[in-house]
Amino acid sequence: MNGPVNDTPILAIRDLQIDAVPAGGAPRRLVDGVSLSVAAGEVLGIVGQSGSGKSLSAFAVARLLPDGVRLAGGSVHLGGQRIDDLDEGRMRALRGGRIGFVFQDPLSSFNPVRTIGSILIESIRRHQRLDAKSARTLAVEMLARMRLPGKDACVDAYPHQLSGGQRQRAMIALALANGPDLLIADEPTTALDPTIQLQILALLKQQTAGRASILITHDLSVAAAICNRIAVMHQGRLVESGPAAQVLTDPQHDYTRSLLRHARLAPAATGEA
Amino acid sequence: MLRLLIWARDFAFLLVATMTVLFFLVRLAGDPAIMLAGPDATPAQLDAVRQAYGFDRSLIEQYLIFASHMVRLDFGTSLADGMPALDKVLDTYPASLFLAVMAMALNLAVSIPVGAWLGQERGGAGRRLARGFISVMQGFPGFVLALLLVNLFAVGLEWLPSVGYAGPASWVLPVVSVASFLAPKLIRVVEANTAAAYRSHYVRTAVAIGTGPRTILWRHVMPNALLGATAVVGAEFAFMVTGLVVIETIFAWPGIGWLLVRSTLNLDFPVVQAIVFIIVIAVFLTNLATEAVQMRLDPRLRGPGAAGGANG
Repeated sequence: MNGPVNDTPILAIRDLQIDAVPAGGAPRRLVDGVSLSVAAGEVLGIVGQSGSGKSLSAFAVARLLPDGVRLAGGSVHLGGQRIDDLDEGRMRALRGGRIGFVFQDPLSSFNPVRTIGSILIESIRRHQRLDAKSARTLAVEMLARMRLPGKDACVDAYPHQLSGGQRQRAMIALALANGPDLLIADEPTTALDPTIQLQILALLKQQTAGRASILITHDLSVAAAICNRIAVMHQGRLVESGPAAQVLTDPQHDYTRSLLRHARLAPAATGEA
Repeated sequence: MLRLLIWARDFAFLLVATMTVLFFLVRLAGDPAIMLAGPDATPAQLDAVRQAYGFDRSLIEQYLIFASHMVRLDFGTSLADGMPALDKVLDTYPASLFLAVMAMALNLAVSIPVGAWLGQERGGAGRRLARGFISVMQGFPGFVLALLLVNLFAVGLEWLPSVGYAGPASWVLPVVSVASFLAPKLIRVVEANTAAAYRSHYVRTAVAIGTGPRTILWRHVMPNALLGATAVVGAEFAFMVTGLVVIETIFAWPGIGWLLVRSTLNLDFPVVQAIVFIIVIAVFLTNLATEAVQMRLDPRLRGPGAAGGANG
């Protein structure tokens, strides 16, 4: 009933607990008892409103947590290997390597004084033993594959020189530069125009083939467009999860039903795109 | 090209407006004829002096003569010693610029590392102590600090000379005084910008691609933090090129600030006018240089460029 492709999940999160630890204050639980798994070829949508803990749960996989927030319990396995207790150096090797991230706002997520290409090359050289020239060639190739225009596929462009959609394509190129097993996309279309949103979703769907992917969104219709399975989070807990079709057509939880009513994209646009 | 014309227009306007206002202000300050002829001069002697220097003409007439000379960079001669006014200014300005450049170099060398260090984390006893010290320093008027330093190192310990402009030992106290006055502000700005950069989304992206803390500091945080600090550095330098009147007076530093005080007290207005003329140019050039540095550091100021194609 879980994944359509493989029995051993790429990612397995068990009983995840995340706390906010304010300086000099009592810890406050933000995420409580979340268990999820994602198999190769599968796209899991984590849906919920802001503050539901959906982004924290996904970012916790690579311990990419804001200051004052920490993993308080549970376990994370990647490809069968436990990773939540890795030291910082080993975790760094996973970030951008086996785990790729796409963030919500591609403008603020790219360093304004660095070219798109320089960030890509930094990631490529961090994870693959390549000289500067081959890394640049690979960066151009990745950007071109994400259909950035021009001979050099905007490799020397600064973020402000690209459109929102182009920036998000570049962000996806960055996430995929080192061929990750796991792709985590946090509200990848929220900051974009509706027509561009559909293009980016189509691109993401195409790029999720063969790897495990997590799509974090507040919008069930976005999840409906590309996810095989959907997990609904509310106030730090998982309230419902299952195959996408089942969650969308026969929601069991009141909260899921209210999310369905507020889905943003028109149903016609969200069918199997 | 258009930009250059706009600069030239702004510059011409600033210079003319400043010099005009200054011309009438110094004429209100007192009668230079009394200074020139001496306090015991008879009315006839005073009249002779006024005639010789043209003070007997109407203000408008004097202004037109002044303006027509200024266009040819002729500010007349010093009423104190007969030297060409502009030469006196150009002779003393290098000392002031030297002090400004040295103080700024020390200021940058201290403020950038300290600000970056403070901006990396909030907590820790060392950082808290440093922040307290900087707050105290920020509350100190520059001249009080200078006098304290003189008292301690020149009068008390007798390690360093307290006045003059003769060799490295005599530079230490003036340069340190000015830098300590500038540093707290710059440290604060670098700290705030560093902290903001660490909280930014682009640093989260750097973490998410596996970049280590050192590369994050040098290649992601600092370029942005320093960009935010250039405006303050420019303002601090502009402040210094107007002459560090108090510091130069305390240390008898033969610079433009010290000359400005003496010339003003002597109603030596040709020299005062020449000083202000040079200061206006220096401030303008400083602002121009600040803008150029910002353009260099911030690709967003260089215009949209031609990298993108169609949207999508």
